[in-house]
Amino acid sequence: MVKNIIEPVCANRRKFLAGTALVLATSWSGLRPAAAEDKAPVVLGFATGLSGAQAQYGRDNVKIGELFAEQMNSQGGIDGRKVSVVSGDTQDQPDIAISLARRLIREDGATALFGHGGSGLTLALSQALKSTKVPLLLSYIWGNSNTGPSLPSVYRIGPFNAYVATLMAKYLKQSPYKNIVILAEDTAYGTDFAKDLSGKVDAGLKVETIPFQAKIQDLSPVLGKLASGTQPDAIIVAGNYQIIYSLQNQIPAAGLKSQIIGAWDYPTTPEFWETAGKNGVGVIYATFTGPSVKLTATGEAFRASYAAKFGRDPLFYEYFLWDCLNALRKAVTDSKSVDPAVLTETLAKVSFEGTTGSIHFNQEEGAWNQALSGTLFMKQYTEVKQTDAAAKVVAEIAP
Amino acid sequence: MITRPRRTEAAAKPSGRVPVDLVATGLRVAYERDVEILRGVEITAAARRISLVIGPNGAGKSTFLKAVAGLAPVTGGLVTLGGVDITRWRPRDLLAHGVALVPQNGTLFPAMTVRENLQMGGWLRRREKAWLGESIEAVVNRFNLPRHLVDRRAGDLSGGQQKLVEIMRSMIMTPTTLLLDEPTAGLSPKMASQVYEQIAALPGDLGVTVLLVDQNVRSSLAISDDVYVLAMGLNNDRGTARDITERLGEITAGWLRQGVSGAVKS
Amino acid sequence: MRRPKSSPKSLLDMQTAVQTLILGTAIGGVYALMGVGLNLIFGVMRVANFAHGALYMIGGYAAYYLTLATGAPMPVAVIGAMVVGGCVGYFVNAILLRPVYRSRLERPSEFTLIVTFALSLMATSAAAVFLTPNYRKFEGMWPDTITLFGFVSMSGDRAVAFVTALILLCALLWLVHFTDLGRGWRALTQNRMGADIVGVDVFRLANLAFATSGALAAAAGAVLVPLYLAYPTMGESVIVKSFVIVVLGGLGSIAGSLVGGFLLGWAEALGSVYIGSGYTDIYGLVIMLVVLLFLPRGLFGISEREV
Ligand SMILES: Nc1ncnc2c1ncn2[C@@H]1O[C@H](COP(=O)(O)OP(=O)(O)OP(=O)(O)O)[C@@H](O)[C@H]1O
Ligand SMILES: [Mg+2]
Repeated sequence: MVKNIIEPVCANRRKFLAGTALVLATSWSGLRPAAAEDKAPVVLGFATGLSGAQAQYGRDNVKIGELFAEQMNSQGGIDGRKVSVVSGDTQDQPDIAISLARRLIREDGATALFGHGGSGLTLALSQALKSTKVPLLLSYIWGNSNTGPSLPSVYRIGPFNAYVATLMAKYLKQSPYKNIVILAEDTAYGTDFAKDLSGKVDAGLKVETIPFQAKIQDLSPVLGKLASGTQPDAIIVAGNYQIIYSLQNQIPAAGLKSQIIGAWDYPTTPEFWETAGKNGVGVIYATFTGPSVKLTATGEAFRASYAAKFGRDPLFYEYFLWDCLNALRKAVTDSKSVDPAVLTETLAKVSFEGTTGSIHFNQEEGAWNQALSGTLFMKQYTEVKQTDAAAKVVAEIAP
Repeated sequence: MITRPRRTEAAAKPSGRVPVDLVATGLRVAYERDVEILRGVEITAAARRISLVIGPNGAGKSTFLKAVAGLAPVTGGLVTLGGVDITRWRPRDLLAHGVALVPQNGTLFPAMTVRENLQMGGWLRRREKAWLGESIEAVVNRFNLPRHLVDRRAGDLSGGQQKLVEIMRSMIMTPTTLLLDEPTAGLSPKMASQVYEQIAALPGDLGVTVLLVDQNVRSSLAISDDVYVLAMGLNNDRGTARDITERLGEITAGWLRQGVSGAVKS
Repeated sequence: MRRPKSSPKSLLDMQTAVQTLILGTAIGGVYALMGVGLNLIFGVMRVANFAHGALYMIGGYAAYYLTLATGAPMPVAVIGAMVVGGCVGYFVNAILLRPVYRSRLERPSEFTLIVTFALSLMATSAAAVFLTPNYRKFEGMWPDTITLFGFVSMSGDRAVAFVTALILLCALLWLVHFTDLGRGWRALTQNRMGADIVGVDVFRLANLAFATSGALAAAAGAVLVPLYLAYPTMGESVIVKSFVIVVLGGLGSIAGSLVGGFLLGWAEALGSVYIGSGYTDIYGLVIMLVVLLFLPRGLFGISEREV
C-alpha cells in the first residue's frame, strides 16, 4: 500500500529514502499516542432477517455477536480495538438487505458482515457489496454458489449443499431405501441440494425431485398423487419455511408411509415437536452434532458462556458463527488492520483453533474460501419430545 | 329562532307531522376549492305547495337539491326546515325529519327486484313488516305498475320504468318534503302525465311539500305554485307559475344568450 | 395402500383425478371463506381491505392462545377467534377508518388502502416481536387420517376445516339474502347513492361488514392452524389469494367469491398435480387472467353504477 503511493514520486534512490523516512516518521508519530480507543474499532455487522419467518435465528445471531463483543472488550478489545455490533432487518428481501448492508458499512463503519438468510438473498448481497471488499462471513448458508473465486471477500465456515449432498449420498447407499423422492423448495438452497444429491447417488437408487414454492402452505394434492402411485421408500425434505413443519402431518395424511428425512436439522428447532406432534417420532434428519464431535477448549468456553446467556446449549450452526467471529479476530490481529481489502486477503491465510477443530480456508474448485469440517450424523427420533442429544444415531458419515 | 334538535328515527313516523316551510338562504356549494357551483341561492319551498326550479343545463339545479339533501358540500348559507337548521345533515337524518330526495340519475338497486327496491324505501321503518307490505301494495296500485314487473330485477327494467319505480320508492319513504329532480325525464308522454297527476295530488292528499326541478317546463309549470329560475348558480328570476308562464319566451331566450356554463371561478 | 394390486391403470388415473378434485374442493372451501369476507367489504365500502390477511393471522393466534390458556376444545377456540376477529374488524373501521365517513375526504379509497396496508404490516411485525416468529400449532379436533371412498386420504382436520367453512358460508349467504342487514349491505353494494337517500346508515353497516368479514377471516385462520400452523406472516399468502378470488368472482359479488374460492382451489390442486408442482401460486393468477379476458367484470360481476 505504502509502496504504491510512493513509487511514482521517487525519481531516484535519494528521494525514495527521504520519502521512506518521511512516511515512517509520520506513521510512527501518528501511532505513538494512539491508545486502544483511538484505533479504528472493529464493528461486527449483522444484516439478517429480524421480522420474517426466520427472525428467531437472526436475533440469536445478533445476540451471539454481542456476546463475542462483550468478551473481546473485557479482554481489551481485538488488537487493542474496541468491538461493537451493528444490526438491521433485511425483511427477507434482497433489495432491503443490500441497502441495509450498505448503510451498515458506510454509516456504521461495519468491518465485516455476518450472513444469515436465504442463499439467494445472500448471493445478491455478496454481489452488490463486492466492490466494497468488506469481508462477508457465512456460517449457515448452504448454497453452493454463495462462495467462489468471483466473490473473493466471501468466506464460509460450515457445511454447504454439495458437501452435505456428498455425505448424504453415502448414507443413502448404505440405507435400505431404494426409491426416493426429494421435496425441494424453489430456492437456491432447495434446488441446488436436490441437483447435487440426485447427481451423487448410486445408479441403483431411483430419485425423483418434486419442486415446490418455498412459502406454500399445502402440498396435499401433490402428496396425494405420490401416494396413489408407487409409494417412495423415503421422502427427503429440503426446505426452509413453514411447510416443512407441516409436512410431518401432511405426508402421512396423504396416505404415504414413506420415511421422512430432513435434509437439515430442522427437527431440532424449538417448534418441531409442537408442530409435528406424535408424527415427529420416526423422523430422520441430517445434522453435524453428534456424540463423536469433540469440542475444543474454544468450543467448550463458547458453550459455557452461551449457556449462561441463553439458558440452553448452542445449536450446531451457532458454533460455526462463533468460528466466523474468531476468524475475523484472527485476521485483525494478524494484519493489525481493519481495512476491508487487507482483511479479505488475510482471511485466506488465517489458521486458528475453532470450536470443533483447527480451521483454515480452502481455495479449491467447488469449495472456495471454504473451511471444510464436520461429520454428518443421520439421527432419528424414537419417542415424542426427544431432544437432539437423545435421538438415535442411525449413521455417522465422515467426509 | 333556529334550534338543533336530536336527530332520531322516531321523527320519521307520520304521527304529529305538521307541514312546514323549507328555506334555503345564501346557499353556497363548491365541489372543488375556488369553484363555486352555487353562489348564494335563495329558495323557499312553502309548506303544502309545489315549488318549481328551472334553469339552463348546468345552472346548478341538481346541485341545489343535493345540497339541501345533504349530498353536496355546502360551503356557506343556511337551510332550515320549519325554523330548524338542517344544513349539512346526513340524508339519513333528513329522511328521519321527512325530507326525501329523488335524484336525477338512477338510484335503484339493479340486482334487487322491484319489490325489494320498494322495501328499501321503507328502510327506516323496516321492522314494521305489515305496514311496509301494505304501503307497497298501495303504491303499486296508485301508479298502475304492471303486476308482472314487481318481481323483475330493477336493472332489467327500461329507463322510464326505472324512473317510475324510483318515484314510487320515494312514496314509501313517506316524506313531508319531497325533492324531485326531473321526475319525468325519459318517460313516455302518457306515463309522464300520469306522474305529474300524482305529484299534483301530493300536497292536497298527503300534505307533502314538493320542491321540483324540471326541464319539462310547460308540463311542470301547469302543476306548480311558485317558480324559481336559476342561472350560473344564482337566482335569476322568480314568480308565481302564472307569472312565469307568461314571460317564459323571454326567460328562455335569456338562457341562450348567457350560455350554459354553471361553474364560475371566484 | 389398500388398493387391490389388479387395478387397471386407467382406474388409478381416474382415482388420482377424483382425489385431486376432492382435495382441491377441501382447500377451496376455506379460500372461499376468505374471499367472501374481503368481497363483502369491497362491495359495501368500495375499498380493498389489505388488513384481511392480518385478521386471518389474528384469528390463528387467538385460537392458539385460547387453547393454550384455557385448554378449550377447538369449536370454542374457533368461536373465540371469531369474536376477537370480529371486534378487531369492527374497531379498525369504527376508529381508524372513521374519517372516511365523518369528513369529506378527497380520496377515501386511497386513505383506506394506506391505513389497512400499514395496519397489516404493523400487525405482522407486532406478532413477530411479541409472539415470536416461531411456528405454532394446537391439536385439531380430528387429527387422524381419514379415507373417503376407499382411496382419498386426508387429515380429519381438513374435513373439519371444510365443514366449518361451509357452515359459515351458508350463514353468510343467509345473512346477506334473508336479513335486513344483508339487504342494507346489498343496497350499499349496488348503489351507494340509492342507499344514502333511503336512509341506510353507511357507517353502522360498514362497521358490521368489517366485523363480519373479520370474524370470517379469523375463523379461516383458526381452523387452519392444525393444518398450516400459526406464524406472523401467515396472512401474506392468503391475502393475495383472497384478492385473486374477489377479482375472479367479480367485485362485490358474494356468490362470485364463493365460486371463485372453489375455482382457485381446483386450479391449484389440478395445476400442481398435472402441470407442475413448483408453480402453485401461478395457476390461480392464470385462471384469473383468462376469466378477465372474456368477462372483464369477473364471473358474477354486477354492473357497477358510479354515483
Ligand atoms: N360532483 C361534482 N363534482 C364537480 N362538479 C360538479 C359535480 N356535480 C355537478 N358539478 C358541476 O356543477 C355544475 C352544475 O351542475 P348541476 O348538475 O347542478 O346542473 P343542473 O342545473 O342540474 O343541469 P341539468 O339541467 O343538465 O341537470 C355543472 O357545471 C357541473 O359540471
Ligand atoms: Mg340536473
